[in-house]
Amino acid sequence: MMDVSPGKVVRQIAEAVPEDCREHIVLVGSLAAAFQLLRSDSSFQVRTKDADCVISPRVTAVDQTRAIAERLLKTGWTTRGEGEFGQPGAAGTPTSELPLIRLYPPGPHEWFIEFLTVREPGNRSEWERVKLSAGDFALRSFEFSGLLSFEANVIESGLRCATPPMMALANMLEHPRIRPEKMSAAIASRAIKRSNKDLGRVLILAQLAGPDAVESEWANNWERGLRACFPERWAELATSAGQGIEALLASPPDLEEALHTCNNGLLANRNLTLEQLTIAGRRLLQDAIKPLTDRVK
Amino acid sequence: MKSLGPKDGKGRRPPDKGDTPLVEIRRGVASMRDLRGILFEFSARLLSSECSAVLALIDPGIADTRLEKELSLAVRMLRPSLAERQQWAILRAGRLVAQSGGVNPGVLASIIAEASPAERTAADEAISRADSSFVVLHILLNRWFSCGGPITIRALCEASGRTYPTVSRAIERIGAAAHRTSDRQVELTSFPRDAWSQMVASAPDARGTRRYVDRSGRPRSPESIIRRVASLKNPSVAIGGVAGARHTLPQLDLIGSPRVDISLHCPGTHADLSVLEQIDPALQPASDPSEPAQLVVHLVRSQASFFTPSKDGVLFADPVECLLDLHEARLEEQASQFLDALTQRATGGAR
Repeated sequence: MMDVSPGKVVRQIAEAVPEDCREHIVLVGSLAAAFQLLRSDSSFQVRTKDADCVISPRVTAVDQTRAIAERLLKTGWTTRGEGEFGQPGAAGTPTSELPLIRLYPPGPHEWFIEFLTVREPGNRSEWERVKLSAGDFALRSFEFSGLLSFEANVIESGLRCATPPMMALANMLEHPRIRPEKMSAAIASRAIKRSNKDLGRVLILAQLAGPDAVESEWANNWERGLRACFPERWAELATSAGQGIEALLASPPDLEEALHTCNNGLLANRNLTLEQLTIAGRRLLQDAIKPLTDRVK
Repeated sequence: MKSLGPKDGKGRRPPDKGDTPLVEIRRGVASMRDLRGILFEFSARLLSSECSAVLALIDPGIADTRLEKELSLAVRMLRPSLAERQQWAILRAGRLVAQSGGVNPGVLASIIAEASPAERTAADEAISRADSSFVVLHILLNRWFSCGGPITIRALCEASGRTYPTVSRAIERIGAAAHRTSDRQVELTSFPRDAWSQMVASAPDARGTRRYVDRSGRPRSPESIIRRVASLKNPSVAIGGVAGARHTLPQLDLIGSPRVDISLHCPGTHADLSVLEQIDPALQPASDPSEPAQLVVHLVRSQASFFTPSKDGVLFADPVECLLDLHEARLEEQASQFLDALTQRATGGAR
């Protein structure tokens, strides 16, 4: 992972993407978080390997992704060929075995762009095939990725950024407990559970957003997002939203792993302490998660 | 009041249909008056029950010999059918120090477990008994600032949670500013400057002042902390300091301070500081006295809290508390301004 300037990466993506496609791109993940929450610090760099982009709406996502990716390939971006599933598939390759669309910008390979999409409620299909001139690729969606485009902020370039509370909620719902599966790549030489990385990200988002914003806005944002994206299940999801965070706070080894990912990712060089991360979690439970669950009662 | 097992709406454990005794636990009973009230109520309840009952006094503020004498007397005053069902136990620091005969060993073990300091949460701190002179002067000053007129010694005893002799001695220490009438009333006739100076000097100890600092790296604003305290609607917690002074005298233009002062009412022997976690989990006790505090907690030790609600139900500490808060915060100019305004109000403008 490299230290990159969020502003510079966002600018580079915006310049490379056709203007009429920009509104369909929602920046998510550490880049989007750093771009929105750490903008006042112009020297700030985020340690990341990728710029995750969610393409929405789902109904046009395959066409939009194809248009954007082809444009990037024409302007010198290159596919990320290394690793498992590195090479593009053919017509006969099962969709679930196709590589994700990951493209390096021209120049040194410091980071790559990765495309995802939203999933409509009730749709269980995780993969969509995208046929590019370079071969067949997959566009992946997660159960709760629809939340990422909800009320996404439009930034100057016309791209959109997932809001911190929606990124936090999607991660919380994705991890109602600490699962044993580890990340495919080590983070600063350590194998880390995916749940710890994603739930740690939730705490960092809350810490960077600040206690006053979390207290006054997040439960409202979450309720609106859940009602809009999951009208049939919103109450059930609201009730269980905090389970993963509670599990993380109750497990010192997992919390320590989460801290490791924070201090070697979004908060690189800031050296957050375990006490601070714990406080961020307890505040989140008190100021946003409990108010959300109280609304269901 | 705490009891073992499932409780009724008043915190008591209802009697079982079998032989399980009714257990009533009282912590920190501080005066003979309180004890007699408890004994009367306790005995009255036996009338409506056929089971035995145990009164457990945990960490009482009365000497054991006086307690035993009073408890034995109370049992002797009952008719035999009630007396034989009434038992008691006295515990201090988690240890049984005295008991009547006939207490079931299993019940006794449960009471001891309940009384054990280890059973208390880290947020539940034992506190020493407050200086009675401080408490009495505090009440009289509040009365004077609010033009409340004379107060009976009896009412002063009840409000302070102190006995008649103790209150009398405290009044004497105030000096000429305290005027006693022939009908056992007392009031301040002027501001007791000397006694006040002593009160200000002893305030941090007498009020058990505790300073808290933010450990999150993202401190809340004072306004946010005040909002959170207000939203708790906890009858034992009131806002003091500059915000409290502003509430008392809105016309005063007091310049703020980056810290928030709150008053915690704890008339017993323990202070339940769990409210701090509810206000903000980031607040931790300051380890360095020079470290600026975000929140300062003062314990109000009198029996009555003297907290006053605003129109929207937010509790504020009394003017004396707020004035002491300003002094403790080294906001001397603001304290002087506030005291002048309170004194003017008390004297109708005459100084």
